[in-house]
Order: sequence, then structure tokens, then C-alpha cells
Amino acid sequence: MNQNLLDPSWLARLERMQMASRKAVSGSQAGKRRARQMGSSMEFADFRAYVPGDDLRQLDWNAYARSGKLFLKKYLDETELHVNLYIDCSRSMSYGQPNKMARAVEIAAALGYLSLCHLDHVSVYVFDSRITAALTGLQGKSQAHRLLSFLSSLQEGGTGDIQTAMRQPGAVSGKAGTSIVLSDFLFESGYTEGIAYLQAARQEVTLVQVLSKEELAPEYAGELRLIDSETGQAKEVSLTSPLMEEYHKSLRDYQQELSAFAYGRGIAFVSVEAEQSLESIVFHVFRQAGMIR
Amino acid sequence: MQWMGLGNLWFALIIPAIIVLYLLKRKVEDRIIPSTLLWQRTMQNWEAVKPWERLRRNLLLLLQLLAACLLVLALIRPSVPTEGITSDHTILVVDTSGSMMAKEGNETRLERAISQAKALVEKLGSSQTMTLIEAGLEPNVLVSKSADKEPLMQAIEKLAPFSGTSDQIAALSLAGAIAENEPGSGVVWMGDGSGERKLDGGPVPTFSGSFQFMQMGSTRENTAIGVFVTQPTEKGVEGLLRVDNHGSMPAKGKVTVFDEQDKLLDTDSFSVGAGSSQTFSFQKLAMSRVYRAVIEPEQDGLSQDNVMWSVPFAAGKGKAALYSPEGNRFLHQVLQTVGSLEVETIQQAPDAAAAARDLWVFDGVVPDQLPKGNILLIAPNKKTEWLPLAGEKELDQQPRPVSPDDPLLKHVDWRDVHVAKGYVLDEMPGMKPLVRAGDVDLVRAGIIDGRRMVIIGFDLHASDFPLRPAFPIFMQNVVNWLSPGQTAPIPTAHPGEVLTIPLSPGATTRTLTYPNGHQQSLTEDATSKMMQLPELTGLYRLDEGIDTGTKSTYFTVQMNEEESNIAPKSVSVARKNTDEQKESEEATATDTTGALGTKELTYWLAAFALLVLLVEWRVYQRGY
Repeated sequence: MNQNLLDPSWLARLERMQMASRKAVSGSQAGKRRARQMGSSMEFADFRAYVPGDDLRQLDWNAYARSGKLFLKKYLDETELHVNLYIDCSRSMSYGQPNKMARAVEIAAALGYLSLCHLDHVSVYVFDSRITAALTGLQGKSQAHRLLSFLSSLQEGGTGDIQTAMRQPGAVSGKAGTSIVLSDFLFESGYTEGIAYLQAARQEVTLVQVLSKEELAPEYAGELRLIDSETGQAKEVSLTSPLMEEYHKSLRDYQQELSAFAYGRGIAFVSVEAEQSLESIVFHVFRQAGMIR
Repeated sequence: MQWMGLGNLWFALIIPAIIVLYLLKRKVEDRIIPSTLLWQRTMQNWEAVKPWERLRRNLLLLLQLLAACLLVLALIRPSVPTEGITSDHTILVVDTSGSMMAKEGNETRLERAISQAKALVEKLGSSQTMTLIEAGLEPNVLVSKSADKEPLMQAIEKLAPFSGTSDQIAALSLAGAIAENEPGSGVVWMGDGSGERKLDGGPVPTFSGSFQFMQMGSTRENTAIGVFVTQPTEKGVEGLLRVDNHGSMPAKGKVTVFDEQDKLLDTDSFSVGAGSSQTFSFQKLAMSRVYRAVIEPEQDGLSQDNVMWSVPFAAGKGKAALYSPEGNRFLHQVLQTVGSLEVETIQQAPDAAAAARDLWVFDGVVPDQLPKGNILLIAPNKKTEWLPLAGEKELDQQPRPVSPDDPLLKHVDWRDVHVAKGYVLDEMPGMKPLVRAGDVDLVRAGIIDGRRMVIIGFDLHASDFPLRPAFPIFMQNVVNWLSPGQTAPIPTAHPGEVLTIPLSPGATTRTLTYPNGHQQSLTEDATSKMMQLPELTGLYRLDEGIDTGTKSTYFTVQMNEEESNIAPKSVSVARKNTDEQKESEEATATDTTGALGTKELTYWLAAFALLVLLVEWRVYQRGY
């Protein structure tokens, strides 16, 4: 089951990666992430002179032996990160070879797995026009099994609407963290407010647009009635190469709008092709985009 | 490029039909796609563009349109002129009628036709033959189906114009009949199409072979003497002359009248507008047996019609009686002027015992009994047993000649004549209508009870007819026709016509002198001689030796007035199709030397259309 989701041969490679986040949050449990506050982790940060009241366990005795002064050794407090993965499961995600949904799930699995490896909190939300399934509060590599089996049980649902889905109770975690939205962003009703809502919940948002080759470079020809898989709306077109050029232009415009929106709000935006291999998406696209390091 | 089947052009409607079908048909295939969001945005931009953008780059449609265009082109049967003659056997018909004497540049039309005909003969291939027909008064086969160029050349060089009118229908029929018997024949007609006996109304000859008309004429500017008549009056000889301008530009010039000895008698200048006529009258001409009128126009196409002779009506006078209770000055005057009549005005209707007259003129009255002699009846207002008068009717239409060729209507121009009201006459056996306005017969002529009769069915006072030049000319014609033979001179004839020449009884010798001086003695001992005139215009003289000396009678042979109208026209034939369908077609005038045969492109076009269809089928199969 879940082993199909991620290739075991590069799980080790994945484990060495880490989610990049500008937002480090202190948590109640120790994570593997460096916190900004000085803490009690093993990672050295600084020395400072002893003042009465300091924890004596943190005194650097070696330094005292050489200098006769009391110094405290400062360690960064290691905190965990809240990683929220949003997967669009609207019907339009079921296209492509492999379909966009499957690719999105795989990406979520990879990102979730590497977060778990770093003791981050991982939550997965699946939405179309509402949250259809959610798995929250995973931490630790031992939970990887739960994550993968949850992910592999997902199925695409109905009409996508990120605007209403994000406003649903329980759609957003109360904790500040990183949210990665995996979707094609082809929402009839738009996406701006939904994302803004997510951002308002102290989330560092990353948008991953998954498009299939069918959408990027359609190979239709002749007289077609194009029917929307979600809304059932039909559009009659007579496909000619000038029209195709026009389509490509529309596609470019749409992606530019999306990325301009993201840039304007300080959101990272990545566009991937469902037909691309997962390995190249994770190790090249995401790394280049600075999502993971 | 010619179009032999332009009637099929309506097939071109198939082209918009295909486009409409394409727009309507649009077999759409359903396809479910992830999201139409992007397509909606695409189409928003796209649909702003015109609907026919859909047709762009639609290969199948373009191919179908191409095929349809080719088929329509094939249906209207285009043909290109080809160098030389394409048919195996060419029937060359050369028109030699009077209008072919018109000058085209430095040569006459006939000279031009001769040089082009020679060029054709020189281009004859070794297996090609030619028949040469001269379209004269009667069509004349000069050389029959000869492959030898020498006799053809000789015959062509001998072609000479004649002043008469060629019988176009006969020539076409002959050529058509020859073409029918010789498969692979084509007819080439060299002429100007003008002046020839008209095809209008008559049956159009049908052809099975190809027909090519080579236009020899281009100018239409010509001024001619239409009529020249003279007659002695009490005050001297009066002459009436009409100058016709057949061209499209005004003509100016000088008109001169000479006597028998070429002594100048009178002169005048004329200025005639395009397509119209000017009438002159010459008073008190010195006595002469023959008068000759000459015009010298500044520009002229045909010089042969610039001279006309006139023989005054000199013989004994007939007796005419005019009965006009209301009085009619016009009529009185015209009867004094025209013809050679002694007119007596009578005050009461003649009874059966009235003395015989040559001509009875009734104006505004109808006699109960017809007197002996020919009758001119004007404005008949009473119904009698021989005159079925049906009433009076206001006329709002122009008088229109029914049979313009009738001798009574010769040179009579009805265009300026207006008639206010006329008398409606029922059908009269033996009388035929000559002029009509609407459905009212204005002039009838015919024979009733063995006497010639002309009925003018309107009051002269109710029209402007007496004020027009047409009136004296018409009355002259009428009086001539109603006068008995011996009082009228020998009428003007056309070349090649059959003419009856009255002979004086008891003459011992009779010699006919031709205009060229040739003399012929006549040996007949009768009161008239019927002879076919030679194709020679001019003044003929008949000298008869009678006991009192020699009596000379003159008559003139003139070119047909029709020939003076030299405007080039095309000759048309009907094409006989293989499936016996007749379609009327016009052989258009070609002026290209030597470009004579036509090559139809129909089969090439059809083959090309088939090829396009094959390509289209292939394209369809491969699903472009």
C-alpha cells in the first residue's frame, strides 16, 4: 500500500532534506528544528557571563577551568514546525498520466515524510469545496505509516472551491506554521480570498500548482464540445492552430496572474507538471524554489 | 478567354452553400476535460473575432471550395483562343456586303478580312482542309474542302465587295449544313455583322460544330444620304434629301446637288447630331432628267453611300379626287407636292356613276359605296358594311411601325410623330396593319374588292404628323403605291434585286446602259421585263427607239440603307448540344489575328477538380 507512494530507494535521501521555513515556532515538545530562542538543545549558540539565578547545569566548566570565570554555554532551543498539507481533491484533479491527484498525494507524502523525519508536526487536509478528510497532529517518524496509509486512501471528490473550503471550521490549524497547497488552482470562483484566509491564520503559504500535460499542451483537434468535469459546463470550440495559440496565451496569463498574486503577498509559488517524476519535482523544483533544503 | 456556358454560372451558388453547410453542420465531439476555465478565457478573446474565423485553416473546407470552384468553372466552359485553326475542316465564311467597304484605318474591312483569311490559310496544317464561302446576296461556295493552299489563296484574293446586303441566315445555314456532314468541322465567320439581313425574329441557325466570329469592324462613324427624291412642280423641280448620321459623334459637311451634266445646281451645309438625321429641301432646281446629290462629310466610314441619284417623276400625271368636307390644308398641299397627280377637289361624295379616277382621297368621310379606283381613306369616322369601325380612342403611346420593311414606310421616321386619338378598326381581311400605337392600328394598307386601299386611322389635325418630314415622305410612298404603274417612275432598286422594268410598247430597239458603261440590248417584246440587277450601284439608262425618236428612262440602283449603318455587331448562333438541348450563345467578337481556334478547358478543369477531390478524400482519411 503506502510503500508504493514513496520509492524506498530515495527515502534516505529525503530524510536528509528539511522543510525551509522562515517561521520557526517554539513548541511544547522538542523538535529537531533550531529555535530562535536559546534553549536546551545540543546545538551551541553563544557564551555569556553567569548571573546569579542561571541554571548551574549550563555552566561551562572547561572555560571556568581555563579562565576562572563563570560562563554559561547557550544552546538553541530546538522547536517543532507545524506543517499543513492541503490537497485539492476536486474532480479536475483526476486528469493526467499519472493524474494530478496522485501526483499531489505523492508530493504530500514526500513533504510529510521529510517533515516527520524532522519531528515537525504534520497535518493533512483534503478539500474540494469543503474539507473532506483531515489527519492532524502527526509527529515523529513513527507516524509516517499513518500518514502514508491516510494518503493512499484518498479519492477525488466533487467541485473544487478553495474559497469556501478554507472558511470551514477546522480547515486551518490554530498554530502558526507552514501551509503547502497542492492544487491545479482552476477554481471557477477564484482562489485569492481562500489563500488570504490561510495566510491570515499565521501560515507561511506555499502554492504548488499541479497541472497535467493535457492542460499545458492539449492535443485536441477538430470540432469539440469541451465539458467541464466538475461543473458540467460545455464550451464548443473548433480547434485550429491559431486558437491553440490563443489557449497557450490564456494559460500563460493565468499562471502569471497566480504567481503575481503570490509574489504580491509574499507567498512562494511553484508550478509542476503531473507528468514530471516525483524525484525531479522534489529534488529539483522544490529545492530550486527554496521550499526544502 | 471565352465562356461557352455562362448560363451555368448559377451553379456557383454551391460555394456559399458549402460554407453555410460547414457553419451549420459542425459535427462536434464531446470531450470531458478537467476544467473549462482556461477555455472560457480563451474563447472570450477568440469569440470577439468574426465567426468565419472558424473556417480559417480548415483544410477540408478549402479543398471542397476549390473543387466546387473548379467544377463551376468547368460548367461555364471556358475556352482560350489558340493560335491557328484547331478543327480538321474549317468553313471560312467571308462577308462581302456593302458595309465591308467601310474604311478601317488605311484598308477596308474586306481588305483586312482578306489578309486575315490568307494568314489562316498559311497556318493550315498538312491534314487540315478549308472550305471558302462568300456570304453575298446568296452564299457562294468558292472552294470546297481543299487542303491545297494555292486555290484557296487565289479565291480569297478575288473576293470583292458588292453594294448589296448579304444573306446572313442563308450563309450560316449553308455553313452549318456543311459542318453537319463533315465531322470535325468548325465555322469561322469573317465580317462586321452589320448591315446583314437581320437574324432578329428569324430562326437562329443551329450549329453542332464550333463557331468563331472574327470581327472586322471597329468604327461606327458614317454619314450617308438616306433619301433623295425630286419631282417637278409648277414652280420648278423640288428635291428632298435626308442626311443620316449613323455614328456616335456629330457630323458636319457639305451637300451638293448636280444635274445630269454634272453642273452644280445647289449646295448647302449640314450638321447632324449623333444617330439622327437632317432633312433638306431644294427648291427650283433647273430641269434635268437626272439629279445627283453628293455629301462630303468631314469624317466618313463608308464613301459609297455619299452619292445618290434621283429621277424626277416625269411621266404622265394620274387623276386624283380629294373629298374633304371639312377642308384639309395639309392634305391638299401634300397631294399637290408629291407624286404626279392632277388633284381635283370635289364637293360631294361620288356616286356609282362618278367618273373613274386613279385615286380617291377621302378625308373625314366614308363613302357608302366604294368608287372605282384606288382609295386613300383618312380619319374614317363612320361604320359601313365594308368598314368595321369600333370607336374612337385616346392614344397615349407613340406610333410604332409594325412592318418597317414595307415599301409604304420606307424612310418614314415615326419617332417624332405624336397622335392624340385614333379610330379603332376591327379586323379587316386583306388589310394589314403598318403602324400601330398601343393596340390601335394607325395605318393599314391592303386590297379590298380588287382596289388598293390605304387607311390612315386618325385625323391629321389631331396629330403633329403633317409638321414632320415623315409626312411628305410617307405620302409620297402612299401615292406611289396607289398610283397606277405608268404614272410612276421605275422605283429605286438595290443591287442584286429582281426589278420589273416597264417597257414602252412598240419600241424597235431597247438598250440598257449600266453605270459602268456596259450596254445590253433587250430583245423582249413585252410591256415589262423582269431582270435581276447586277451588283452595281449607280444610274441605269434604258434607251428605247420608238417612232418619235429615242426615249430614255433612268432608274437608279442604290446601296441598301441598312449597309450605311456600319456599327460592328456580333453574329450569334445557337449551339446544338449532343443531347439536343438548345442553348443560345453568343460568339463574341475576337480581333486577334490568327488566334482563331478555341480550346475548351472544361476537361482539364474537371480532371483537376477530380484530383482535388482525391486529395480531399485522402486528407479526410488521415484526419487532418
